[in-house]
Amino acid sequence: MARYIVRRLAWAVVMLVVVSALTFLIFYTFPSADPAALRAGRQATPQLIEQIRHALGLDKPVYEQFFIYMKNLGLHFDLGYSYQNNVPVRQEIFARLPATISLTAGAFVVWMLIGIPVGVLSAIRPRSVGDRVAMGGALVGISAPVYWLGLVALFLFASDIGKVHLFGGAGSYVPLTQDPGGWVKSLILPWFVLAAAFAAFYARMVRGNLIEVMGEDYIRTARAKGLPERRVILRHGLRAALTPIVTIAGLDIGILLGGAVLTETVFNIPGVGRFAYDSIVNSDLPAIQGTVLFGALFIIVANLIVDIAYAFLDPRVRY
Amino acid sequence: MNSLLTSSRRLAKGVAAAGIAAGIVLVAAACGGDSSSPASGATTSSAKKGGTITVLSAGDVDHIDPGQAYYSFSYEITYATQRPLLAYKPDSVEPTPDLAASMPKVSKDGKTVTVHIRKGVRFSPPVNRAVTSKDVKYAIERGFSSSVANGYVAAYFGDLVGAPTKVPTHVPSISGIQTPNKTTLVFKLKHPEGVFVGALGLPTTAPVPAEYARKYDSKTLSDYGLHQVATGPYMIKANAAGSINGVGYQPGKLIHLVRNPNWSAKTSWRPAYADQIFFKEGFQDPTVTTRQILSGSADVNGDTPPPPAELRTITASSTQKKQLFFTPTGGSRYIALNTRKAPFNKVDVRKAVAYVLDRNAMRLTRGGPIDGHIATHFIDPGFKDKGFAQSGGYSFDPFPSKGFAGDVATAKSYMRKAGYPNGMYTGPQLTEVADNTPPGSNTAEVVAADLAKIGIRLKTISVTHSTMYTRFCNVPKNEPNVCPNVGWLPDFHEPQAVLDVTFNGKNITNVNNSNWPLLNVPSINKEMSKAERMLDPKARYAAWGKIDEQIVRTASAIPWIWEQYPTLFSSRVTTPSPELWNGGAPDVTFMAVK
Amino acid sequence: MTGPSQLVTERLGAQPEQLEETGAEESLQVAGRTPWQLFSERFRQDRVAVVALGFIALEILLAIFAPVIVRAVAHPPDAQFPDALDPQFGTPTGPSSRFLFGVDSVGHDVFARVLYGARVSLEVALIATALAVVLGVTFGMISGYYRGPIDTLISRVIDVTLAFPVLLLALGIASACSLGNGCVRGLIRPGLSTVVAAIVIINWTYIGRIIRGQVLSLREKEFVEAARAQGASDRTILFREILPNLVAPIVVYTTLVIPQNILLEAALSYLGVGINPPQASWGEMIAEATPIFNTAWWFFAFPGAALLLTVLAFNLVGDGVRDALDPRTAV
Repeated sequence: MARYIVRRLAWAVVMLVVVSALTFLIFYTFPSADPAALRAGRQATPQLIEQIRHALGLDKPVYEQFFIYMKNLGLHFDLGYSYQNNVPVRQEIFARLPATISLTAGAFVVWMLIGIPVGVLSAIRPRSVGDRVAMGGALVGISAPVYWLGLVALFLFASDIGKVHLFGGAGSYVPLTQDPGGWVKSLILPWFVLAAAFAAFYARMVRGNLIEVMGEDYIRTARAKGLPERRVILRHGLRAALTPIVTIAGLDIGILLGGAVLTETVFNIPGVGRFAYDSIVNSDLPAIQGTVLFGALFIIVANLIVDIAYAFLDPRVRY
Repeated sequence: MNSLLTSSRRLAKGVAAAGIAAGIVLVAAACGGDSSSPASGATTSSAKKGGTITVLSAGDVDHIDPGQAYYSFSYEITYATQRPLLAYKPDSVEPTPDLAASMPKVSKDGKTVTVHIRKGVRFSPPVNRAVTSKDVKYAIERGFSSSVANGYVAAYFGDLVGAPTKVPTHVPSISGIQTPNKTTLVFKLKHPEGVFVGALGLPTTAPVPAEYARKYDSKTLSDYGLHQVATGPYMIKANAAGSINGVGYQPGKLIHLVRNPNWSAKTSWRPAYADQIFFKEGFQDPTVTTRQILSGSADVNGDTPPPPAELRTITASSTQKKQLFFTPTGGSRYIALNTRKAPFNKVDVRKAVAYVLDRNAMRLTRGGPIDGHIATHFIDPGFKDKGFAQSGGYSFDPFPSKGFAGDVATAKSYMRKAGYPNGMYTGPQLTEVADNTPPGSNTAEVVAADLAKIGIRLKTISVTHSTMYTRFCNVPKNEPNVCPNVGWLPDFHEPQAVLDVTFNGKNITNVNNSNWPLLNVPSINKEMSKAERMLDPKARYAAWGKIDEQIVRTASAIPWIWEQYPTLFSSRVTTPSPELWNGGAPDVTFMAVK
Repeated sequence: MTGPSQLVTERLGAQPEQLEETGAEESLQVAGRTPWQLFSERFRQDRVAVVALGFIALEILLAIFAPVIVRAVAHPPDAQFPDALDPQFGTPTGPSSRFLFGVDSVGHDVFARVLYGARVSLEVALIATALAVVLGVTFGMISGYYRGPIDTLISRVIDVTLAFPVLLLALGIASACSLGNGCVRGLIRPGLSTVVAAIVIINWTYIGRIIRGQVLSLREKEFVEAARAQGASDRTILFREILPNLVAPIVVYTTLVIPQNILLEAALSYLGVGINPPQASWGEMIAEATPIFNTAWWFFAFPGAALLLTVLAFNLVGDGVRDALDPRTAV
């Protein structure tokens, strides 16, 4: 067991290095815009651009730049400085992490609280009107583009521009430590918008899993034993149905922590996702590198946790 | 998310036209005269001191360091916190002495410019001391070093005696900037430079304390910007050590201005009513931004104009339209044709393009007449007698068509003259590189559809705005046949600033080139060199007017709009003139909370 | 946005045991039915799924005949009609007798673009999905069957790909391939090919993992052992014995992921790295229409509705297929 864990950890580190290398390959070798020219400004002379290219270390071969980057990362946990404004990338990411975590955690709670009960209820009464409506609604939830949903939410419920002045508008995010009430108010709309697609999907998945589990023999046995239906469903059926759900939820959280770009954009939440996107647009190479790395880190950690948990639960999985 | 990728910052610094700022300007579709109403903005003499102002923007400043700032949005912060030698009052395009005590004196031969600076101006904490002429000298010098890399010192201060010819890695010492005493600066130029005085209004002349800044400027890439001190009425909030990072400057999120305790109202013409100003960034959706301003949760748009659909609602409302102002940006947008590659190396083919383009449809992609007057040459109406009248004014249009919708028949006749028998192009496919988001992408589509009318199949490569510039259109080697999303705003209010970098053959560089048509006509280049040396304004403007005409006739770039920029104020603030010289940007030092 | 993570555990049902039925156990009175017949009978019973399938067929027909229809009742999809824009503000006008679905901000006929957009959206979704499935199934089969170092290698590649944040990966591909001649010798350039490439790269890993898992358990089954005992080559076993048993998960996965990919294409277009105008796709139209959806509702509503109905249809068909393949999960 311990060997398994150690092996997975080692592999996780290797993956991070590989992801870094790939990022370097994609973004440094073929940067869309020229960072040195962007930094140098509009009327800069070619000579100045070359100076800046040299100052940024961009005239070195890619593998050398990569090595320098990994060295800084490994030894000093230094993610470099943003080409845009010279601030340390690490500082920028950490400054934005709380916002992304707030968004992800809240959305997670919302989509689980909505998706699972809806899925369970649908599974209990399959093919009924309620089931069809719920599943239809779920499909609509999956189909709606997040950004559009966000705009609709703002135009309906934002305290400044909405038809009903209920929740915080775009850009109203404040950190939890600063103003808990404002924090909640600013995040309610983003939570629900981000959760919409996930809740829909999870509802469908719960329904599917639970229906399948309900067809298993041991459920029939439980019923035959005379257990009340509710106990059958909740004690026996749900547990089996929810295990894979929890797995996926873990993975989804990992993905979201890398930053929900679209939601963060429409609601102007200063999170890591927006930062990642902006850095790509501006060819801010160190920032791109840092944000991709962080995104991958969260995904890999989530995978790791899930894998290890599975290894505990199911010995056949270890290989 | 159309503004997410398009850099909604303007193209270069804006200096705009005189007198057309306040009130609503709905330029008539049939262009024929100046249809603006030159009412002035609400008087601010009754305004109260105190309160907080919020400015919304989509993007961040390009550089927080005043010695590097280049775009109009950045200037909203720079001119509120720094005092260059000259600055601009909101409703004027002529520079006014700010740090300078009076306007600079130019010697008869134009090679010596003398400026006296005011007494009693001090730096903000932690420097605190009085400003001297040496601080201005250092500010200009640092712009030359590669660690600061100011974008325009080479163009306007490169003629100083002792200015470095190669880019130094450290801050050079320029002998041509002399400081005989604490309050006097003497500039020695190698040749007379007509626009030198105008250039003294650029933020690079805002004083920087050398003893404080040197340690930041000596790094490979200076981070003085994160530790800057202020001389203006406001400062970016800093900690005790002077660092603004994470305090008043949160990159991509917020810039927080507070009062500069060492600024004295007696030395300045800026009223500075508000106590605090917040520049909130990251507002990508222009409709949301506009509605937030209308609802009062924010006060003015920093870099994102209200979209056409919102402008329509606002102009229809009697209350809201009083909060909306249109300001000419002073520049134009144009379609650049690569004159180095066939078929646009032939003037007749270019003229055919100039005739076939439907400039009215192109203007509609940006909101129609409310976006501005259709351009027929490069010096815009705001330059009135400073080149606009001299280049023919509104009536000069060498490629006329009814309603500016394009003239396919005449275009075809020019194609025939160029050797295409049916008036239709028969060569291989051509390429254009365009923005991948509206409205730039829409403009590019219209261009492609128009060129198809003369048989040109145009392939569109869609990339981000900065890629379009830094990888394609600014690099002659990679430049496509057509660059449809280019334009230029002048650095300050001189026609040279509109035409020189963009059409002078000697300014073609192999990277970061702004002469997109790669125009290199020796006679035009010579005229430009002559005009640059002219000290007499009248002669200078007449010369540049003629140069503008000549450039337009080459059809190497086809201008299509003289843009005006909408500025929307909330009802909780007064509505002073948006900055004329900065293309409609709000001047926060003149805004007050009602 | 919903990541394809859902696909990892959408339960695909156990092996259809009907494949193991042998004729000898059937009484002579009951006519033996092939698995296909069993499947289609059960599928037909789910009327909702049948209607959905019909809808998809209708869509495909409309897409194929788009040029004919458009020529008859509408205008060419990339023709611009600036006169249909408001002359004062340049804002688009809504549905009228001239333009059934109104125009967009450049003056294109929205009706024509929705029809032509069907082609692109369906093409992208179907082709990209097919490519991803082929890749994923191939590697999944190889990985699960041969195990050992090849399995490790392929699994690691999958892990690394999955570790990349999806949108950033797509943006990276788009930015990397926007210069010069693009990537893979000009095969991948900004626009449609980038979208396809992004979809393929992202999707093959999921189906690959699923198939690998299935093959891992299948290879231990008795019928595989029996085939091996009979001297069948690996190739024969893979194609004759294992692959048929994978049809169920493959089909279910495919129907689930096609609408996902249409949405992914919409998101990419939204970020500016998808289909570019003047080419029309639903995703691109939705992207363009979203900022102005509350003033130019038609521009958003029609492609949006088309997208929604397609997603619905594919999902319903997918549900029906899954239910029909494994009667235990059908209710």
